[in-house]
Amino acid sequence: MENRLKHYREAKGWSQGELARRLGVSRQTINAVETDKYDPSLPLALRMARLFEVAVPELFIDQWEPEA
Amino acid sequence: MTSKTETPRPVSKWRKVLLQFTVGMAAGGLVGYGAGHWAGDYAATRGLEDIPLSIEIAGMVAVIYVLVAALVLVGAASPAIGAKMLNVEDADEVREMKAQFVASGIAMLLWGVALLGLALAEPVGPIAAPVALAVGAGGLLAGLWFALKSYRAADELMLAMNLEAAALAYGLVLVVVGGWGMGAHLGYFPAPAPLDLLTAFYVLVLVATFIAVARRGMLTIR
Repeated sequence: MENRLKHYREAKGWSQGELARRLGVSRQTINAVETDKYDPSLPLALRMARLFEVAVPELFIDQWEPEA
Repeated sequence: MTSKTETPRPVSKWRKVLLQFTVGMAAGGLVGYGAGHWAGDYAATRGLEDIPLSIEIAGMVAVIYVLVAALVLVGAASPAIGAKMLNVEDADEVREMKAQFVASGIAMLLWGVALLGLALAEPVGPIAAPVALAVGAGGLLAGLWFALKSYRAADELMLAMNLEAAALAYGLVLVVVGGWGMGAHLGYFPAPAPLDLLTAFYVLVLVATFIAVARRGMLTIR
């Protein structure tokens, strides 16, 4: 899933390691999310959104549209 | 400025690939040559024409486990070396993941030793059956304990990878071992020897892990 994690992380001036430390995950996880190799769990997505003070859909972009 | 900061990365990546390839080839070649030589001498002293294929393959797979474990453990013990040999960004990442690397490295080492002990068991090998059983079962159980330790030290990405690899391994075992059993039952293939089944589990778990990692594009050198 497309996401803007890198954008928000860089806006805060944090390295991947710093963000990983704040979220209590490994740097590999942050790298995998930023490069679209891994979609985080709902609790981690919520924690990320809370850390950057944005809503989850602003951080993770889902192109799905409900059928009319 | 941009080119100055970006140029070294691909070079160091290629250097890393080359180093991993060279170390792997050198260690594999050395151990393979040594093991082959030893097996040949051993077969000659026992008056055997050849070592059975099941035992040769089990021994090779066991050595692969031991070699991979040795690389992981050396990398974990020395983050500077680990950064060059393991698929991590830098030495700090090795330090961050040290608990996981050490636990999974020991698990692989114990599983490798367990299979090696069983491959070298009587009547063909020099290890008495009770000793081989102790090495095999003990190594398998102790390895499982360290694997659980590694699992507990893992974060959600690694847990997801473990689950994916386990699901893939289940499917592969069903297809490969199940297919072999089916064919053997119907007389199309020779029946697997007990050691073949064990070796098949080892190989399929390794293959499943590589597939799970590759599917997420995480085999790319970092």
